[in-house]
Amino acid sequence: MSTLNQETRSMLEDSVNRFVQGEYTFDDRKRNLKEHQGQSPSHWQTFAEMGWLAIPFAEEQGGLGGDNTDTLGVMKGFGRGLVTEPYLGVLAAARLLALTAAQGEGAELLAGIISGTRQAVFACDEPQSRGNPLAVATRAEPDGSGYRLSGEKIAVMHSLTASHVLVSARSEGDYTDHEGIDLFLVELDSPGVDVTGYPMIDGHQGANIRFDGVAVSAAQRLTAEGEAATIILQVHSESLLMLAAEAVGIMETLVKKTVAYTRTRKQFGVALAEFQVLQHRMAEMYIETTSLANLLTQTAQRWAGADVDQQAILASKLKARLGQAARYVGQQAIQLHGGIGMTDELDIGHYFKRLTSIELQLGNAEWHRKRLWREHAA
Amino acid sequence: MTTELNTFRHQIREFIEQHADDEILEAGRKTTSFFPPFDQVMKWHRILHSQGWSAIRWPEEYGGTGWDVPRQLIFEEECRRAGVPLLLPQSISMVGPAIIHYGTDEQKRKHLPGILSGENFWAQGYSEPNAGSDLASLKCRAERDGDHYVINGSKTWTTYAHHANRLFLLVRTGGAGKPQQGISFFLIEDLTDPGIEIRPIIGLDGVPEQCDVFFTNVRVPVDCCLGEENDGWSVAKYLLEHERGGGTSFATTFRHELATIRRLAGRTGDGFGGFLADDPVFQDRYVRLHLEVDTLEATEEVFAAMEKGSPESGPMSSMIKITSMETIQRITELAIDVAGTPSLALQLAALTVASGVEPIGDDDAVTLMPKYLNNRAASIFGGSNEIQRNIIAKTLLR
Repeated sequence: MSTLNQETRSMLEDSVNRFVQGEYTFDDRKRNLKEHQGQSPSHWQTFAEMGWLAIPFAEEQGGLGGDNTDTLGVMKGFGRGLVTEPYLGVLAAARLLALTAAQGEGAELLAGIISGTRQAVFACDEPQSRGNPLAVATRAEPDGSGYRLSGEKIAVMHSLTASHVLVSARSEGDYTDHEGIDLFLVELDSPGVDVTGYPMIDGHQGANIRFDGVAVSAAQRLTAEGEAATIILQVHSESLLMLAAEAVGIMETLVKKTVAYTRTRKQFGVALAEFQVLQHRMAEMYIETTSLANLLTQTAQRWAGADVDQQAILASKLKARLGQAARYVGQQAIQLHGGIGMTDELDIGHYFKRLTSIELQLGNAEWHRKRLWREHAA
Repeated sequence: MTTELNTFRHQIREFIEQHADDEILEAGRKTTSFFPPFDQVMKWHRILHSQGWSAIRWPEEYGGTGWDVPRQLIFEEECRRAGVPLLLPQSISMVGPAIIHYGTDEQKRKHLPGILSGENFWAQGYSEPNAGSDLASLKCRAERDGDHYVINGSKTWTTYAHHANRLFLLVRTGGAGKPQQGISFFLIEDLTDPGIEIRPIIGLDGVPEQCDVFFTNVRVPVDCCLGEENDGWSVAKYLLEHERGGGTSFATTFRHELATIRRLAGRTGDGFGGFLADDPVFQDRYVRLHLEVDTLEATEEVFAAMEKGSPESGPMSSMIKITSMETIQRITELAIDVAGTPSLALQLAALTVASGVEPIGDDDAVTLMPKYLNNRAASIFGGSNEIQRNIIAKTLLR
């Protein structure tokens, strides 16, 4: 549960706002994409210095002693600035290490991530999983005292400087079973690990990672055999919460920018903002954005008191609602800007593309609605 | 009749199979907007021309085929079936019909053969930075100077201007009166004039398709004017009807998109151990869209039989523009929802014809995200859908 006081939270929010306004303008971002593929080492250093990498970790681990709800201000700011650094992916990996109380190599890695010197990623999605963290087809076959990992993970939120990957694999049970899932810590340059990295439409880096009979020791298994599902679910929910905050940051920005544009753009001798059909469209964008922001606030308030299953439901509600709201707001922002919204030169299209990614990542709205129905029916 | 049509279909199929080479088919597969890769689509244009099939809807006397509507549709179905790129609309479906309708004998003789053969490609210079939906407020100006006009101003969203060697252009030649008066329609033959600067615009998909075009003291002969001087708005309106509806059958193309999505859904997991194609939510979205396409086809058939420029054809073309473009937007939305996170990879090299770069992930899925992104423009270009709804409402309330 969060122990951060309001003062610390405000300080974090101020620091991210200063960063986005001062060092991460749209032009800075463009340069960062060109020179560093959107992942600048010096920005990451800033993240560490500002304490953003330490927020949801215990003080004895070198953290600030907060929880994931304390990262939401940072994520909203990252949404406004369209920050492409792999904050969400690396933090997910670190949360897994923290929750499993990893020892040895894992503990060192976690300390390195919190201090900004190391990075790791989390490989969860598979070609047929649609964001369901329990739909694990990757196999962990017992082999001597260890295992061999085989399978393919896709759409990993990738960091170009990560040394390790945390990977879910199944040693027993059926495809979507809760039981039988393990979590392994694997060096990315291990034999049999094949990383296909690529830029994504939103400027972030993605990767597909193939595991071809990768030999791992029992010590690389981070949880009791077959019992990783609970921790994976928890981190999946936490990532969804953070993703929603980023989406709110983007959508609030799009509403503001669209309103400003329609006040200045003139057609038929008057500002676009004078046309009632466009006024209603903007009112709807505001309603969708504010509804999601309110749901996020309420979810964050309920987060600490919820167990893993309840958090999964809260996260699914948020993501399902997000999918609907983000699509409408993103599409209308382009429509109301007209042709200029379709260009690479203006920021509007980039906000739209990031929203589109967010819609699809960690399970889309349809998948989450289906999960909610299953919970409801059960 | 059926036998005749079957024979006809067979002839078309055979011709396409024999003449569409791998690169042309690759360009068809890698088309992610209404504008296929330029070099390959023009190559295909020239091949079709050799058979007399480049302008199937033109009157026969100008080099058209004389086919009736069922034959036109069969031709398009076979093209979609084979996966060849659809010919660029600007020359054949837009400026061509306008020249046939408004051109002098001299203009027809001069311009139509090059359009038919694919030797010339015409870009469309309509929109300006401050004249989009409100096209009549355009400011690009042409001043009369003896036997010439001198053009100054700029155009934007000029698709494929960086590939074009011809340009049709709306310019202001007159002064007072309503904004629609005093606009002329020019046919520009020389784009190498140093006063013309063409700057490609990178789109959401990372590829240049549109362009800005700037004119500085560009001199063109007075006989470049299509229709009467200051009456270019009539030409533009006539041509916009061709652009908004009825150039080609959207329904045929959209069915092809739906078929791709259906195949993909058949092999994409639903995350619970089943396949998306068995998911009632997918099925409902799919069937709804299929019905939208079927209905669109009905409207297209009615429109095809309608006399262009009649009181009914204007609102009907607006209706086709709205329904077709919103349907394809929803189809591309379903496509990315089915494709999921694999569609987030930016794959510019794999999408380039003859690059030899294999796509990451499913072959069918690689074009789906660029199509979703590019089709956001479908409710903006050719007169935004808000403007089209205004046109329909105006007719209803008249």
